[in-house]
Amino acid sequence: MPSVNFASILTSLRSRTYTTRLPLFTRGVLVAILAFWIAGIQSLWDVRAWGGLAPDQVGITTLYRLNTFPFIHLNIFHALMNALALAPLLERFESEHGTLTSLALFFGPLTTIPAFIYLFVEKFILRSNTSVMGASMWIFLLLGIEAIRTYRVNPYFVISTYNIPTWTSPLALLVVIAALVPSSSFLGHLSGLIVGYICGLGYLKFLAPPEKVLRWIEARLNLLGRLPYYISIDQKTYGRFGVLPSSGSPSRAGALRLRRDPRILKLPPYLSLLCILVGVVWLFLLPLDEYSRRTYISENALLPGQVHTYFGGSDQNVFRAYKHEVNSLVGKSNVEINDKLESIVKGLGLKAGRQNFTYRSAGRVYSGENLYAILQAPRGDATEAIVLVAAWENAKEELNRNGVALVLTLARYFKRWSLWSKDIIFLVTPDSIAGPQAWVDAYHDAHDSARVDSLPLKSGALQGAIAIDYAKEGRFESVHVVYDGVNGQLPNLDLINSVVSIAGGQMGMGVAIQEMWGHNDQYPDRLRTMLRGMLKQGLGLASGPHSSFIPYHVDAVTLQPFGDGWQDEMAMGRVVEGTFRSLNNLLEHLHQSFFFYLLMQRERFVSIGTYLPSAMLVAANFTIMAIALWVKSGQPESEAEPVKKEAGSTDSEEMTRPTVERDLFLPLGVVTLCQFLAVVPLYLFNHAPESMLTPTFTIFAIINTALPHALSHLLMTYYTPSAQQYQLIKSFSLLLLGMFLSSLATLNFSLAFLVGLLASPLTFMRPWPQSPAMRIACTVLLNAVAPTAVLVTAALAWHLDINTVLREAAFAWDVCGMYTPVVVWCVWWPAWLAGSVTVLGRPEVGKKKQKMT
Amino acid sequence: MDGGKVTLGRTAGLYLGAAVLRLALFTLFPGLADLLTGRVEISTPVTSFKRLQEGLFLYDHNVSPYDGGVYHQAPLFLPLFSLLPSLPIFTYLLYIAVDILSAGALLKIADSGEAGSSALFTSPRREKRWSGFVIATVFLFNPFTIATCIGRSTSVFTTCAILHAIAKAVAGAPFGAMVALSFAAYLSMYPLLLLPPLLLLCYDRQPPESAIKPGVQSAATNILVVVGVLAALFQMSYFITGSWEFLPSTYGVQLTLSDLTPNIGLWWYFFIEMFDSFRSFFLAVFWLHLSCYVGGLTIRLRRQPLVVLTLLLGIFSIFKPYPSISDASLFLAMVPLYRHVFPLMRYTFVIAAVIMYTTFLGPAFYHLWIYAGSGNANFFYAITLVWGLGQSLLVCDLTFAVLRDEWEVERPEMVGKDIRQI
Amino acid sequence: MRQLFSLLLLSLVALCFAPHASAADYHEQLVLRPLPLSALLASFNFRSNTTLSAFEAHNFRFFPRSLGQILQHAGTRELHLRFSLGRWDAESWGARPWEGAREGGTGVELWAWLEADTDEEADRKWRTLTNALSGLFCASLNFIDGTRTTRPVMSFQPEGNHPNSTMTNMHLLYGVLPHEVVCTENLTPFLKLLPCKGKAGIATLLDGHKLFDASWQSMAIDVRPVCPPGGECVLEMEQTIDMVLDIERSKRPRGNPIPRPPPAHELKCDTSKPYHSGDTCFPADYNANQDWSLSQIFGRTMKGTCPLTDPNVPPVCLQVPNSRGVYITGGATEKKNLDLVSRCYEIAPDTPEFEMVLPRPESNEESGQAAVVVQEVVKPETPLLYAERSFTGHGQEHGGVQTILRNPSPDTEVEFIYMETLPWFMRIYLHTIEARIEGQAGASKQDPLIQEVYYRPAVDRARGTQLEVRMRIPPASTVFLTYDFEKSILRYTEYPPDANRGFDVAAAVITILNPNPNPNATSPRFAAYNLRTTSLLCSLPTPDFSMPYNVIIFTSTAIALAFGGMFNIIVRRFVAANEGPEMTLTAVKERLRKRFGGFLQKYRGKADEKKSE
Repeated sequence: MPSVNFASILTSLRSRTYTTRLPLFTRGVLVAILAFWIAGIQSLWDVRAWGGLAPDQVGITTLYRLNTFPFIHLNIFHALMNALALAPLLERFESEHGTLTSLALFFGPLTTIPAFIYLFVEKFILRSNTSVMGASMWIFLLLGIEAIRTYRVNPYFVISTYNIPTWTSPLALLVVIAALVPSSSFLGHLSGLIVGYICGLGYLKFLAPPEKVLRWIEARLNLLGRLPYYISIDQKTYGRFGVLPSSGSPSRAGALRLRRDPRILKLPPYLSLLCILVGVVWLFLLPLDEYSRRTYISENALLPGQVHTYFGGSDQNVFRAYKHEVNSLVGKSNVEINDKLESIVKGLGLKAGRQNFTYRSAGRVYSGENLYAILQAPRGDATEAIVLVAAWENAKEELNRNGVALVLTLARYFKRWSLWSKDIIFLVTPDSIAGPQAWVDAYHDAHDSARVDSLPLKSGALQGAIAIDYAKEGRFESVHVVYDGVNGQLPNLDLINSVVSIAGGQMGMGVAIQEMWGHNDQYPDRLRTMLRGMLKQGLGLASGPHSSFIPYHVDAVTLQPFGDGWQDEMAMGRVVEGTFRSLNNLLEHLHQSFFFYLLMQRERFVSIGTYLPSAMLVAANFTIMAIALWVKSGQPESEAEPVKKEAGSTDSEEMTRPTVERDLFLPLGVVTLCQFLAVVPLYLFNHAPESMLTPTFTIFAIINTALPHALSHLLMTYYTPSAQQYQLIKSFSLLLLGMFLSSLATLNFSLAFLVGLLASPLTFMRPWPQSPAMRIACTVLLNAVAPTAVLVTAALAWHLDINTVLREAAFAWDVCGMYTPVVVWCVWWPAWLAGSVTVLGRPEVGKKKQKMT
Repeated sequence: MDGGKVTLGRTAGLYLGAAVLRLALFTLFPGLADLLTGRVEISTPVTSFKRLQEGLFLYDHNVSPYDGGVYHQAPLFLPLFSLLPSLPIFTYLLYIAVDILSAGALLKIADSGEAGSSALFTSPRREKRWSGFVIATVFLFNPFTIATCIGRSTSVFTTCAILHAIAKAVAGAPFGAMVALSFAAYLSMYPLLLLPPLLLLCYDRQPPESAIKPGVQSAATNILVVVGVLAALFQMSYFITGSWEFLPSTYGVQLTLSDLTPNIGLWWYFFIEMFDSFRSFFLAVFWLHLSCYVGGLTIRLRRQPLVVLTLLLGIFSIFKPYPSISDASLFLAMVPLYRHVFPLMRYTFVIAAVIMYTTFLGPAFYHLWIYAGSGNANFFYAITLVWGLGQSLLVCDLTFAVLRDEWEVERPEMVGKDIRQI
Repeated sequence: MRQLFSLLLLSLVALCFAPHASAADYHEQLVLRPLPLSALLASFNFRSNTTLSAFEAHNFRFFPRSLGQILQHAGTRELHLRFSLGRWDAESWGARPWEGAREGGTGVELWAWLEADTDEEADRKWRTLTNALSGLFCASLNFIDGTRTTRPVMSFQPEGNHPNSTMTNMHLLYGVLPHEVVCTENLTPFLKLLPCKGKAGIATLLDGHKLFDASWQSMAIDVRPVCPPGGECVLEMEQTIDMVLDIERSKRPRGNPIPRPPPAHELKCDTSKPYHSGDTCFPADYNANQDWSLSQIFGRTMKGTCPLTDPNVPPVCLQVPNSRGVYITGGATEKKNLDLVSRCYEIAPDTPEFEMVLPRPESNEESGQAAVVVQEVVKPETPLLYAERSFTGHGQEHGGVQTILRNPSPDTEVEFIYMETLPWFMRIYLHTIEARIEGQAGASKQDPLIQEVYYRPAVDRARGTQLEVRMRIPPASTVFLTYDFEKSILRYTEYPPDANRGFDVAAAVITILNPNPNPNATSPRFAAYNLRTTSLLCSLPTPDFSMPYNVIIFTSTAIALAFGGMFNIIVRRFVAANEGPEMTLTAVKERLRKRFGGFLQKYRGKADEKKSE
């Protein structure tokens, strides 16, 4: 394994040196894997069937399978993963034993023995016939060898006096892989691992071809001269790890040893990158059938679509009448509208109430009056309630004529039933965001009485809410279910499922989510749906009248008819009726099903257990790097120098070197300063009036680019920090970042994932004392992923002007309490600032100055 | 930063700064105090300020506050707070004063140098230590301490009493130490377990000029003092409340955990999910486990009683029936006394990371469970587990470091070498 | 209407004194009163007396033996039992029947005066009583345990007249089951107690389907001793059923109760609308629908009269303006009362069936709706107080209770007692209780709204909270009474199966004190008016019920880790890394070597020398 500090792999040069230093056999294997995958793309010759290790296919004539199966993979991900994992391991093995030996071993015993073991067990013990393929067997074999070697160097991880033998680590990996990766052959991996252990313990050395023969071959063919990247038998170094295998070396107490072990120190950057890659790949795997599940109703009381719905018939006449009333109100003032509507609902024998609200945000005033009517459950007691919302204007500020008329008609219809076990509240709000927010806040007495009036009459605990957004005129084809709430909170999946099964199953109309008007249940569409959902969730904006209910643990959705079909308003009403009948059945508050999920399609979802790892991995990469930097900073300066000699220099005498003392106060100060500076943009963008938003933003963006330079200049002039202190600065800021993100991932997965992804370059930033070019390049890169830059880019991408974006953000922050700005300015921005300061740092300068003074 | 010289001015400035900060938090953010008072991480059933107010209200209206399920705190709080003028500012000042008193005691302990060199043991590394000023600063500006003060949890009084007991003991005033300890024990029971190491500490720090008394005798007298003071306090409480029913309601609740309000400890969820038939058995086991550390540590670390006290405080802050972050803040205030063994600790970074992670994840998960309703109780429970593990890791690591420090006195050549335990 | 009832009361009392008292030992009466919004209040009243001497002698005539024996066994002097469902809509229906004295909160409510020397004995008798009653009425009254029982001090007073000797050692106990769902299985035993067993008389109208389809209904049983001055003390048992029927709903045929949309031509449209047409219909005002008949409303006609009833008391009374015409079957005679809003019907004993039809008032559509309403129904009188109670706050940690009390009368102030009985897991903070008049900030100093507070705090798992507040509300003002509480988490065995539904909190009882107790009535009631708020649903934090084992295991593991780590460090002894016994790797090797025997030797040898080179 090459011992460059991974930070430099960003540069093309270093990365090329890495790839170019791969020895011959390794390259061969990788190329073969690639080739077989390419060969597998075309359909006339099924490579997998040809080369896979299928127990019943293996006969005398088809023994080639024993050697071909490692090169053949199921799909690109399989191949990619295996190649990634195999390359370093195999490279080490080869550069240790020489190319010829590896060739001999890997086309001989090291492949066939596990294959035979597998065949034997699979065929004669398990008596089943599952075909295996892929290089993962090799990976485990090599891991086994490595594990035994590590075990000889340091036998135990000591975790607070618990000794865990290091050779068990591949076993853990084996179990994890078998648990996580579907259709992975536990048996195949295990057989590989066993052989690896045996080989590592040195019992298979007799299989290695005698050295004399190999030397002879080498000498005669002058392979060394002819073949590039060829590793001769004489070059191979046993001692490249500073210890001879199984030379009864004094076993040292694990963690300390392990911590100073150079290989471990080289590992973290790779690990971080791997985390990010796996996290992203993981996300893209989710839409596959193996990972996503079909939805199902887990609250049995709901019984969606089990009741016959009677809404229709002469109610249509009533609907038309109410439609006339509503039309006559168009253009009237909010109060006039409410006067008319109140007289109607009072006429129906409902109790009506009104509520004024006035919000101020970004210099604008959002005010209006909500009207709501309570249908008291006959025989019921005011303990529970369901809400039916219709905003006078929907989120796109179209007039919701049919919605309001439909609500009135439904109120009259529901009044006739005696089966309601919960009160039904009909709520008509002037707009789609502020009105419902004001009403829900006041209902739960969480309102600021200066801006929002209290409610004159109340009912019991809200059990659910349905909002109708029916601005479309004429007949429609299918229903669009909008479900994301403020701050990316989601309603209980059971609610969505029941709406889907009532509208789709019972009424026979289509159901769409996330504005995917047409959805063929294939990978691309699923992926698009999921990504749209994640983006909405990540932004955390209110997407409809239902959004404000969800933070109060009231499950709510908005129903929007769309498309041209033969469904009329009555059908829409029947959907609402069916849903209300289902909610009416509820005994307990919805708690059974999922609250954390990503929907791929209306009947396919991924639950938190499956998708959380991707965000957690992205967050973990920061933490890994932070820990690594901490450990590294604990080592003597020369060791911590980023520029490294080639392998071999890091030898065993450094292992006994004591950790140097760390100077914590400057780094802590810098990180705290960055965190506190974050209050400034947060305050600015939430309190600036609308006219000032764009100028403020421009000025801030300019300052933002200059700030790191100023800071690092101050730092270097006054404190002359050392390389160690820069490492610590980075370590602390990364630690904070990782911490915030992993906490955030539980609250708002998508936001955490997006921010983590955008901040991932920070992991690999470091001072560039020597090369100013690198410094400039990194600075440019950082400025490209700065929060401000990203904001502008996103605005351009969606054809919004920055003013609207900021105004919306301020509005959501003031009214709905959306915390996305906090995350951007108080989590991401400080980390970015610290990162840029680190990049601009020049520790050497500092040291020279110290020497001078 | 090491061994900074403590001038009176600096200390006064420090106290002033701490007081101003707290006062500013109290006055500039009026809602903050009540918000923090409601947090389960800060107020437990036996320390909550809101419950204290309720008890006070009942006491002022001649309803016995102990004839109910709300008030579980010591009776002496009632006259104390009812004598206090009703304006909230006085309460704030009282709490700020208590914090500063604790800081003063801590400062005394630190400057005595007991942590580095006790009567029977002198650490080779003792030179590398932080001054009392630094340690007091760490205590006063520790977010946990500040949050506890703003949340007005009554555990600050216990903290103050414990710190003063130790300070007195270090100063060689056994009587004062015992009085302070019995106050702490009276306020919240568990500090009584600190008696054995405290006796040893008093014994070790006897002023040389006074004739060295035999250990047994001094211990006996000290224990007598404790018993006497406790008896007096109980008698006073009896006169205040007019009945003995405060005993079951104050200490019985801690013993039987009848109030299962969530907190950052390990007990509440365990006894929510416990089968009724085994409840009493496991209560006994948990209390036994809590008290079993005293003997072991006292014997093993006989030469450094202050370390025993520190470790015990750490263990209490994990395994108490109703722990809160104020216990953690007390422990974290004592830890910096051992600056000289920090290099011997192995997991400092991991511990710091774990504690910070849990500090942020705990409230998030609690919100998911209680308010958002999208998570269930296991979320918060898992975080309390991790918090407990992180703290216990810190305790273990500190013990290891101290023991190794002792060991290296015998084996000077092993400094910096790798060792293992068999 | 209050005058009317007092008038009835007087007449009844007069009847009691009449020489033929024995005949007056039982009578029944049905009062029908149409309410606005097409509702109809029907209140049945059955009253039977038996002399105390006869009662002591186990000589039951009209008094049901089953109940009487229970009362005697449990030493009950006075008993009040309520089964209620739904809520009384005071805004539109006005004052409650019987001044609210004959109704309870949702669920089952029971309070009784027991004769006992000590509290313990009272509790024992109370337990006996509740268990026996639960058997008698098929209600889970036996769940009224210590945590649900309180002893109110201010809210209740005996209705009957008790000799002072017994007064001294009489204990009032009060229990309530808010979650109990009242249904037909409670009605049947109720009817069994009647002398005519619901076979004849007005009781024949009581049909489970209709009764429990009502918007509000309340069944009450009151047993109290009444001692008329000079007369012999009698034990009076009064059974009352009040229900408010939605006429629309009740008129639906039993055959298809489903409210399908009516055919378009049957819709009552408001033809005045400009857009009115064949397919567009603005529905006419909802409560323009006041024509009904007994058989439509109750699903059957009244089967004669109960022969045992006192003939002097008219069995059926109707309260509509005298201007409205009513059709009745023959054999019944209508008698209009002095006040112009009520009339009663005498029914000859031999009439097999009694039917009454109230036709739609002949008011043509042209005259506005308002006029119609006025002459259709009696204008309901406004109650003395409106009360509405609700929770504030959200989340399962803290909460608050807010009661809005409105005194409608423009001139007289109202003094009343507000009583809450809360479950123990609602830890209320009394120091946060506050009463403020709307508009004024904070509690008014000069005239404190809260006069007196009686508070008995809850004890965990032993006793519920009991809170009684005597308040005084100035005229024409609204008062907010608020206090905070904390939701405590329970052991997982203490949750009901539907834990996430929440826990029902009993209705608050409001007793409005009588400013000048009516002197000429036999028993001057100290309460002028009673009302109950609606009950509440309090959701507690729930643990995960599925994993007691996991929790026990995880916690134990955490503790074991901490303890083990500590233990290891304390007991083990330090050695340098290369001292002490060698690690066990070699032992493994030895075992392997033995296992594989000799043929491995040479390879191992080769390997070793390879290494050593």
